[in-house]
Amino acid sequence: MSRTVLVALIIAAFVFPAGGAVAQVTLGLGGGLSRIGISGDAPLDASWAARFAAFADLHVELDVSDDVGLVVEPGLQFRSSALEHTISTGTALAPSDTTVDSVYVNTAYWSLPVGIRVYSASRRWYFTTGAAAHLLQKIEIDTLDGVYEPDNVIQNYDVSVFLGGGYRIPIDQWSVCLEARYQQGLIDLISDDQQQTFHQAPVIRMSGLLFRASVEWRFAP
Amino acid sequence: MRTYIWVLLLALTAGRGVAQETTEAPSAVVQGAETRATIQGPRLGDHLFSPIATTTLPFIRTMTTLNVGAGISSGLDLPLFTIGGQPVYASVGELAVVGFSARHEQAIKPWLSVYLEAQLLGRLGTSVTSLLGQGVNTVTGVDLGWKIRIHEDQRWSVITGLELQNGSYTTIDIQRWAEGVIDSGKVTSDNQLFDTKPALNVAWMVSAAHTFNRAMGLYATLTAGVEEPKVRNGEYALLLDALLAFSVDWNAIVELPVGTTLGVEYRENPTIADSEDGSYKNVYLRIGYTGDDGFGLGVQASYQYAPVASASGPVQFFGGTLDMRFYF
Repeated sequence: MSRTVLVALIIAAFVFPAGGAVAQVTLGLGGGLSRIGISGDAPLDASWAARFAAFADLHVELDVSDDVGLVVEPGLQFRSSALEHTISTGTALAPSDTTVDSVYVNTAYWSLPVGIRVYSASRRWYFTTGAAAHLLQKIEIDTLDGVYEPDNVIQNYDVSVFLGGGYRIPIDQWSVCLEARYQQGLIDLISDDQQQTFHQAPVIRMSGLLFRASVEWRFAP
Repeated sequence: MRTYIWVLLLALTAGRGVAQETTEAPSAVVQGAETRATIQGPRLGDHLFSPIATTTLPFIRTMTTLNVGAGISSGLDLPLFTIGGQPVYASVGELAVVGFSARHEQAIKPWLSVYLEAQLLGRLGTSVTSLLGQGVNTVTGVDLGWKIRIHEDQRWSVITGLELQNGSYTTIDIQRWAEGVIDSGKVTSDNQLFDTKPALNVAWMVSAAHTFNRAMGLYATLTAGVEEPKVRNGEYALLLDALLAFSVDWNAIVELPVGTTLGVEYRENPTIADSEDGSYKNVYLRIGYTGDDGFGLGVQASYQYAPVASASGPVQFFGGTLDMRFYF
């Protein structure tokens, strides 16, 4: 109970600062396509490639100053990676290579990005950066032999940082924002169980781009 | 009398003209300075710094930098190289280091900038023993950084920042591979000649600069962070890097557009892919062009006192770097 009160007080401190004026608040819904995949070690003669997946989030923004907003965007983020193999398909006279996918690793994370938006003078262009915590909700490995959901293959959490830019189209108190971000995972995702399995444990992280569109409503001051 | 009046009027008019010229001339200078000031180089107050290559500036600026460097050890002393207990009698040689880096820093606001840096570093032996014993190490990396201004006035600039160093460390360990082949009698997939390992460093940085006068300035940077192991089954390590640099702009003393900077650096972990830990001491001397705020060109001599695995003691390296900077 006391924790709930504390959280409520922190939120109130943001929304109702000491001066008595209500801080400018923007709420919104966002979503788009992510191309976040595994990078790092791969099996011999194979490499990881990111695939498009979807994500959706809520957007809560509190003005810190005229051109800076504090942003929190809780949401669900899907990620997909393919393990690509290059095989020779040509002949001795006409050699050629073909890339085939042997495994797809699909994950879903509950995500909590916290960052800032820094607006230009026109308040149209903005730069965004921050950090995000991710909690693994589901992992699915799609192989040629079928789909299965393994336990303890990767860490059940991830931490990342992001930065990007966007353009805001204001329509009265509404606005539509189009944004691109780069997200860099910080955590080696190989689980402790897997670390003990390998003689020389691989290192993998998840990084990539997000293309996000959102509809936001700015409360009048 | 009328003639005197005309002469007086002419004199006043001419005087006013002279006065206008004299008042316009300084304004033109000021205007020129304002134009120059729109391109913000590494200037703090009156002093134009000539920064040490590959170090982070204690200012928020939009700029692009390019560095190319090379170095070589001196007096490398390695034990006799052995394979399967058999000594290999050969010349020791030295260790050669080459590096290239390119960085763009973009000021988002006067108090915030982000930067992206690509790096390529390599180290290899120049003769049989050094090549077999030390192998070949290369690093390819991309650094991503954020800088936030804490304070800037005519005398002081203080910034802080966060840097992610996302690297790929390739080690060609000939000795380990050869011994593995002798032990097993064949080449096996477990015994790779080279290994590439991704590693990420996260570092926090604080940097400050001080201008004494138009001729002299001082800046210092302290970086601390966590470094992922660069070799398999290695340990996480703390990263510590401290730099102090003293800058002189000779343009202010003898009207020569040249700046010299003397820097000393202490680093707790290697930036190239060798497994040994230890403290690195660097001394830099940079001589650069200071005739323009928007462009910097410099050559830098460096001396490094560094540990090398299996060497009898720390090794001296001498190097040179060509450094180009463009400020926008």
